[in-house]
Amino acid sequence: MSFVCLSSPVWPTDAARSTELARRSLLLAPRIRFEPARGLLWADARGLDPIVVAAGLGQLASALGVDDPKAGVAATPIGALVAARTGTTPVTVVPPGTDRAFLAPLDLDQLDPPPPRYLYPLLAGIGIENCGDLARLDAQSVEVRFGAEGIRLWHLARGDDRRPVFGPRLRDLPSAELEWVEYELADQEQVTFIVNSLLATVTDQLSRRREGAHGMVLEFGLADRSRVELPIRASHPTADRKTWLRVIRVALEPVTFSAPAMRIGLRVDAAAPVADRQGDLFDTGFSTERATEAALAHLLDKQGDAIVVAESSFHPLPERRTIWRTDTHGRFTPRILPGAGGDLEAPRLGIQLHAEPRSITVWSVIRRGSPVPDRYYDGTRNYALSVSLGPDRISGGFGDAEYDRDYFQGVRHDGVMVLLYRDRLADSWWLAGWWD
Amino acid sequence: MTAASALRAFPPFDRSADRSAALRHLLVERFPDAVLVPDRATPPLATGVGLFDRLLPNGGLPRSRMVTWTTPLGGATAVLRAACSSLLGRGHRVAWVDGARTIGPAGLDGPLIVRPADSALALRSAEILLRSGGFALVVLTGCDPEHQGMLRLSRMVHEGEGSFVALTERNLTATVRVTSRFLLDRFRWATGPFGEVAAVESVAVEITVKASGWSRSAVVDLPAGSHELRLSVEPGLADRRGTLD
Repeated sequence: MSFVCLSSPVWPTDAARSTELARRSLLLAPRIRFEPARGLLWADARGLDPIVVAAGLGQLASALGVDDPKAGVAATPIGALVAARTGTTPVTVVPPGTDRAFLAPLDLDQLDPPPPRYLYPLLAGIGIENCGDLARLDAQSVEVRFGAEGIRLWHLARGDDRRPVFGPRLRDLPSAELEWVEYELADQEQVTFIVNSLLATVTDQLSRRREGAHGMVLEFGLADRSRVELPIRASHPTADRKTWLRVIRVALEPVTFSAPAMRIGLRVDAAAPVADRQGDLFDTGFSTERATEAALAHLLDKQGDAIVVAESSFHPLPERRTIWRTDTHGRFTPRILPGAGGDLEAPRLGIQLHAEPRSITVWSVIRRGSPVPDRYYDGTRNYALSVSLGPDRISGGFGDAEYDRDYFQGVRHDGVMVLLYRDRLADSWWLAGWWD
Repeated sequence: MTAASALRAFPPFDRSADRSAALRHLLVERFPDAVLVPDRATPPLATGVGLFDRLLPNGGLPRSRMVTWTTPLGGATAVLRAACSSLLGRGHRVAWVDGARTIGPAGLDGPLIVRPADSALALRSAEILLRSGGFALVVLTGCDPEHQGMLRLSRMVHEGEGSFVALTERNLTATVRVTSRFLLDRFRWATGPFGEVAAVESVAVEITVKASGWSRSAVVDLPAGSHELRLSVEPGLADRRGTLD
């Protein structure tokens, strides 16, 4: 019995009394829906004593001049509404599970909304006189004979009413604010100090709810009566005050206001439950997992694309072959599973690549008609090459993306192996990388 | 009472292990503020790369201490990459901070790779990872921190109690210092059909590890990664795959 419906044939039309009725009703139930045009007042009595709420609403309505208010209490909206409209006592209660039986002897036009006019002859044609007659039929028969309207009516007649009377319950997310009039804040350190104290309130509330905030909004009321909102996002939901203060500091750093601040508000914009994962007895790093995640979140807050994963694009050019994909999950997910060691332990030289090839000056010798690098200068010093292997010619692409390169693997006198190439289109030499 | 007199006052035992334990107990009792040096309570982190571990004091990278590899172009990446793979295979967390954004994809399927936008962020990233205590090994490359930065890194690695290797030329606060160099005369070459050098099969690297009262070096043969571009074994002939002319 969660629905309480108050009905009156004559409802006050003046705004003052309607407002007062709605305001005082909220003292009896947390959610109220007021429909003066239909002469109805709904109250959500979940978790409350519905009879007390219904009686209270009736007395309140009478006190405010509502003529002959009747209240209905039922587990379904249709049960409560019909009980309020047809009841003879101030409060009519439909016991839970008896909505269908309560409606059964009543005429179909007692339902809300009533059947459309065109259905009456059809209903009468097969001998349906009340809700009970209709409720006894099966859905398929009703649909075949009366269509979609018949099905809607059939549901109501069976006490099956799933209409959302009350809107979705708004989430009350933590917030805090501070306003002052005696002085004006222009110094960022002072602003940060106040934000820190507001943050303490907000993160405490979050912790109590076992939630972490994804995003917050900092709201500044300025002395020139303008308002500035600063949305702030964290890489993962957290209620950690230090983390949020760090993120807010970074977000505040480049901000300048047109006037000193007179009010600062901080509210949570998005929150999610902080899940406690079950421990794995065989995971040696489980005890430090939370600290690791916090560190990775800190890293991502510093630079959103700091953590990367390598993927091969199979492009012929070495500097474009590897794509570094940003990993924003903020979790350590090794690609090598524990126990998969063994062969991976043998050290092996691998190529290291400059993000962009570096221009170098090369002194070459001609070998079989092709220039082969003999030594090069990278802008800081000369390197002589004891061996130059190549060329390996790679060409392709079209238009601006066309490339035609001769690659050489050179071994410097100090033993370092380098990868350099000659751009045949621009006739220039470049250092692509080295082996280490 | 001094430690020497305490030792003299201690009665002899038959079994040396018992004597050692009893002596330790007595010293702790008499000198509660004394710290045993070196403190071997925290075992070092064995990298799993046998030859490298044998070069390191106590058979592995020290925890809570900084290790510097002062010659970045000397096979350091190859050895550390192998160490990362081995540690990951044993269930440890490993992070690689690529300060210069030069790391290649080969063999780096595993550690957490951090590619910071600049060297300041690289330093900060390493500090964050070290301080968390969640990573068994953090490697920092492509970044040459100033004196203050080195001190901060030392403090962070001490707080996190992990192992840390920095490829940097400065080794002011390092407990263990590693250097390496290629030995060109000991390279192994693959030759082509006409006896000319066609490819580098393996390179020889001399690795030297120095710490307080410790100096060891060894020569390691490292296979050279394949070129992946070249098909022709004859170095004098151009490999003309895909050429437009």
